[in-house]
Amino acid sequence: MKVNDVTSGIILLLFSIVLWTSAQGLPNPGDQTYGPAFFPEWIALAMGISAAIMIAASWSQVGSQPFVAFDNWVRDPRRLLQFLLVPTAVIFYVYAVDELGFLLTAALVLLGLLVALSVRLVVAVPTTIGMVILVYGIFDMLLRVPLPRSDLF
Amino acid sequence: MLDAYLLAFEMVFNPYVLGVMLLSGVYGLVIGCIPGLSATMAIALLVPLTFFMPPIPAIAAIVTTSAMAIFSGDIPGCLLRIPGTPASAAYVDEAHQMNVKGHPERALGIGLVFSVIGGLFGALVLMLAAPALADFALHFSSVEFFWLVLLGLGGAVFIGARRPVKAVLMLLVGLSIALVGMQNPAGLPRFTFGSVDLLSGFSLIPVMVGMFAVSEVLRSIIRPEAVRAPNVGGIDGIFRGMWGLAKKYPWPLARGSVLGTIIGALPGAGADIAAWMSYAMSKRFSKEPEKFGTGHPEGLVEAGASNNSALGGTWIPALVFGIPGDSITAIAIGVLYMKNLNPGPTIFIHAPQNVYAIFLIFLLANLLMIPLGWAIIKTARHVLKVPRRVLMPIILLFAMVGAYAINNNLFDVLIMLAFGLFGFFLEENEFPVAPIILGIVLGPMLENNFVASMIKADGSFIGFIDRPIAAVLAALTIAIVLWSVVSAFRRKGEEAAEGHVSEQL
Repeated sequence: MKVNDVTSGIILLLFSIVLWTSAQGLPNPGDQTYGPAFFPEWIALAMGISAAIMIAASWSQVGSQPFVAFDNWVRDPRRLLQFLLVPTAVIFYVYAVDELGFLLTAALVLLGLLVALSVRLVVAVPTTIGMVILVYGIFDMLLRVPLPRSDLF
Repeated sequence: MLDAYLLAFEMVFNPYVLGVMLLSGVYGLVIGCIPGLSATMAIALLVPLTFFMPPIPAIAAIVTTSAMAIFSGDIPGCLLRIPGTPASAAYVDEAHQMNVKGHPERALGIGLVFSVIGGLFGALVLMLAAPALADFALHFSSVEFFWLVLLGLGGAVFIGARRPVKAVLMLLVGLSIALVGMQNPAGLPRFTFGSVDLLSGFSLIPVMVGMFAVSEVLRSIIRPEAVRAPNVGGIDGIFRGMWGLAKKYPWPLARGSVLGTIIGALPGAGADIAAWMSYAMSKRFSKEPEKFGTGHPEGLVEAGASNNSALGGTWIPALVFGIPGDSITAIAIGVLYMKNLNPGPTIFIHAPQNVYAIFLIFLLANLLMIPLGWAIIKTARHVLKVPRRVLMPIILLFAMVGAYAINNNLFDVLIMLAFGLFGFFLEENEFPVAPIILGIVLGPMLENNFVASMIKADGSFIGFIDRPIAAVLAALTIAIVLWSVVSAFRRKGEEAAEGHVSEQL
C-alpha cells in the first residue's frame, strides 16, 4: 500500500496532536516544572511542525497522485495470500505454541510457509525438520530458553 | 595501561571468544553474500543470541559479523552485479565489469585485501582517537551531552538523507516510541495503556528484529527476485597481484582509509556513504578517470578500503559518547547497555580493559577476514544458489524465537510482528527506518540530558550555550540543519527547472 506524502503528513500531524493531548493527561506529582509531560510535548511540537512542512511541500501531489494506492502485487491473489501468510503464521505461532509446544508449532509454521512459497516437498520437509531441531538445539538446549512444550512434544 | 591491555588480551584470546568470532565470521560472510540480506539484518538476528553471552564475546560477535558482512557484500556485486549489502553498491558495476572481462579473482581479491587494510586502519584510528577523545569528554556536563546527542541525531537525519523532513519525522517517531514506559526522569509510567508488558517500554530487540528482518521477509515475498547462479568456474589466485596494486595505488588506498574513517565517525553516515564518496573521489583525482566503469581497479581499491575503515570510525562516537554512527552501532550500543557496559567517557577510566578488548577484537576480526574471506570466495558459487524463498521462512522462525528469548514473553513476538509490518509500510513509502532505531536508542539519553540541563539553566536557553564547547556543538548542529535545508531548497529549484515540480524537503 502506498500513501502519498500529504496523506502520511496528515497521519503524522494527527499523531502529534494525540501525543500532545495525551501528554497533558500525564500525572505530575509534586508539580515539577519539568515533569513527565515536558519532553513528550516537545516531541509532539516538533512532529507537528515537521508534518505540516511535509504537507505543505507535497501539496502539489494533490490531484496528480491518489491519497492511497495499491501496488500490483495486492491484485495478484497468490502473492497477496503469500504476504498475508507471514503475519498469520506469526499470530498462529503466538497463540498455538503453548498448546502444541514449540516443536510442532514451529514445524507447522515453517512447512506451511515453505509450501506456500512453492518450495518442493522434497526440499521443504528435510529443511523443516533440520531447522526446527537446529533452533531448538540453539535456544532451548544451549541457551536454556524455556521454549514451550506440549504433552506430545 | 599495559596492565589493562594484558587483561584485555586474556579476555579476547580465550577459546570461547575466538570460537564466537569464528562462527559469527562465517555467519556474517554468508548473510552478506546473499543479496537482499543486509549487514544490519545479520546483526538484528544475532543480537538475541548475544543476549546470553558475557559482554566481550557479545561485542566480538557483533563486530566480527558486521565487518565480514560488509566485505562479503562485494561478492554478489562482482559475480551477479547485485550488491550483497548497501555498502557495496557504489562500485558494483566496476567489480562486475572486471568479472565480465574474465577476472573475478582480481575484483574479489581487491575487495578482500583492501577491505582488510581499510578495516585495520579504522581500528588503529579507533584505538588512538577514542581514549584521547574520552579524556577530553570527561569535562562535559549534561549540556554538552545534550548537544552531542542532538548533533548525532541531526547528522543522522540530515547527512545523506534524500528527503530530510521524512528522516526527521522518523526520528521523532523513534523518540515517541522511546517515551513509552517508566524510563524517564520522573520515573512515572507513560503511554503504557495499562499494560504491564509496556511498563519497561518497548524492548529494543523485538523492535529491531521486526524492522530489519521481518520487513525484509515481507519485501522478498512481494518482490521475489530470480537470483541466477553465477556463471563462473572455480576462482583461483585471489591474492595474486595485490602487492603490485598496493604499490601502484598508495594514495587512493590511504585516502579511502582516511575518508572512510572520518565519514564513519560522523554521526549518521556509515559504510555505504563512505564507499560512494570514496569511489567518487577516486574518479575525481585519478589520472585515468576514463577507465572508471570498465573494470579498473583504482576505484575498487579506494572504496573497498573506505567502507571497511568506516566501521572502526563509527565506533568512535559510539564508545566515547554513547552516540551511534549508524544503525549497526545503534544496535551495538543497545547491547552495551544490556551488558552494563554503558558507553561514555567514564568507561575508559572504570573499565579500560573492556575498551581495549573491543580494540583487539577489531584488529582480530579484520585479520580473520583473510582466511575466512578466501574460503567464502571459493564457495560463493554454491552459497548464491540457495533460493531466497527457502531462506525467508527460516529467517522468520529465527526472528520469532529470538524476539521471544529476550524476556521469554510471547508479547514480544507480537511487538516484532507489529514493527515488521510498520517497517515494511514505511520502506514501501520511502521513509527511512534507521532514524527510528536511533531515536529509540538515544531517546532516554536525550530526555535525561535535556531535563537535567533545563533544571540547571533554570529554564533559560542561554544556559545551553554559555559554555564554550556547548556553544561550538550548538553551532555545528544548527549549521548541519541549515546546510541541509538550503541544499534541499536548491535541489527543489533544480528539479523545478528541469520540469519536475516535485517535493524535495
